Amino acid sequence: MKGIVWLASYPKSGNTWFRTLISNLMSNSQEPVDINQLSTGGIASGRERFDELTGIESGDLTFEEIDQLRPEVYTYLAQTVEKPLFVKVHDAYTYLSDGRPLLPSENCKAIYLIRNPLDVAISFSHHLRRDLDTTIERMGDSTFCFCAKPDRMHNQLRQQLLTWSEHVESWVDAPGLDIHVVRYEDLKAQPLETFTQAISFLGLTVEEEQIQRAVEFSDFKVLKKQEEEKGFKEKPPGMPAFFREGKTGGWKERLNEEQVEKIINQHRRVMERFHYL
Amino acid sequence: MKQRYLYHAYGLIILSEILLTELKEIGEGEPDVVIRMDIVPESIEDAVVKMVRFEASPGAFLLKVDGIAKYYVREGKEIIVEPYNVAREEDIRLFLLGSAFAALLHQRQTLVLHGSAIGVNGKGVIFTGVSGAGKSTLAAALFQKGYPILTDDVCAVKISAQEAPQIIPGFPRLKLWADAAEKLGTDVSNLPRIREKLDKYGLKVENAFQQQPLPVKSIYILSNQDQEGVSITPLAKLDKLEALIKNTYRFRFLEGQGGKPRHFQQCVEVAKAAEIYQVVRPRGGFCLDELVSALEKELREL
Repeated sequence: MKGIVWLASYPKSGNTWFRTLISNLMSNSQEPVDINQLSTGGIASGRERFDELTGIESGDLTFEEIDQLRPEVYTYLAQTVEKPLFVKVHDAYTYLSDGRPLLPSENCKAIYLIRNPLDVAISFSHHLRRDLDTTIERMGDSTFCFCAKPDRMHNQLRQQLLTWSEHVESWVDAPGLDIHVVRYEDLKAQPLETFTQAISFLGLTVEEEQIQRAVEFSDFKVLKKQEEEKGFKEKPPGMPAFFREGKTGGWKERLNEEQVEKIINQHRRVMERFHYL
Repeated sequence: MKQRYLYHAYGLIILSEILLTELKEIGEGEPDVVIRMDIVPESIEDAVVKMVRFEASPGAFLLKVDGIAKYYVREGKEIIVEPYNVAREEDIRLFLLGSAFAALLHQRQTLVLHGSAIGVNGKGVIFTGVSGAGKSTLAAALFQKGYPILTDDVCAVKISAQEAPQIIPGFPRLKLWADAAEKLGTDVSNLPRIREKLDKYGLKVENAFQQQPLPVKSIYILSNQDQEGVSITPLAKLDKLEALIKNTYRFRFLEGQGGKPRHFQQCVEVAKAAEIYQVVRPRGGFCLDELVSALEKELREL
């Protein structure tokens, strides 16, 4: 295939991990790829690509004006790339006032990474450097955005995340979008099978051995070791490590009853749908 | 007869039908560039590149900023502006002085870097880096310390056989976001917003404007990383060229203008003449004071 592959997820749901799998698969080398050289196609909210392709400084535009142009930037990209371009994205799948999707579906496919919101909450609170209650609050806030302070130039374009549940449904139920859902927990428990399914959804022709190696090279321990040795440039400031625990079910030790209840109450329907309840 | 204004910017005498309050007005001179209001074509015939909002071919460049204006830049000599009906004057000026001027300078075979520049003891220093790296904020901080300003954001460098690469003064205005102004202790209540809906202000620096070109001495590439403290590292010879190409203002404008081989040669000349440093500050919080004092230590040695 050509065009864009959206690697979509709510934050802290395995996006970077999946990108290392893809990078290792594509590099097809005998060594694990350097986590600081992940050769995927950047993040959808990157400012540079927007400025380069529109010819307009995004820092001189309002959030709304930027959103009006974003679909055309991706359409242009999807039409012109020679190989599949794997673009990370944390934006929810939203629509502009004229009905156009912010992220086009034509010439695009999507992998949606989903993770138990109980575990997301813990990882996300480290990421945001906020306590768990605040983090849980944000995961239930429809107006929650990244890079949305109007008095400064953020390093990325504004991203509307919506609530955790809304984020999931915006993507997986988007009409006309060719999408494959990958559960973080499945990728953890059965990496080879789960990754192979994703690869065949994308229609990539690769040897089984190649997939196997990519899985080995993207093992959490390998990533963590690399980070310990050389650091990870995508790690937000103030966090001791990006590849922290990478485990599933950590919430059982970290969340109190009230917090668990709050998350379940807010996200019950979607949690049930994806077998987290 | 239409009202016309005569200005000096980027080493050019500009005759404009549009009032450009940011530029320095002059009494007389033979214009190098004419800016006029007229109908602009919807597209360029035989465009070599056609991107999301601009297209270009040798000697022609067209930019459309929705709701504001269309800009048609020709042969490095003329900019035709066709505003949309509801457009505000300051908006029309903003993209004219940004992308359209950059395209004009590209057409005039000037090397255009994405950066701000100051003068230090008669030498030119450029701060470059991606959007949001802090180029303007840093220039404003050094302006406060008394360094003269050469340009903000669009940095023209003239390469000639006769002399070392020179930074050509742009025009005396810095663009500052509200949070940057606050860090600098600059009161924005009396400053004009660069656009009605943006919390971003224009700071005039006429009194501290460097009027004459200065040779490029050092280029600092600003970036941030998850680390403690500010680090300043000189780039190896081979990395210098790549850094200059990467920090060229709207590199893609060149693709359609057929200027890539010349541009490469110009970058080679600058790489020969100037030191280039990677400046890394800690991510999360700008730590402006620390950055300024680390850089001032370097600048004192120029």
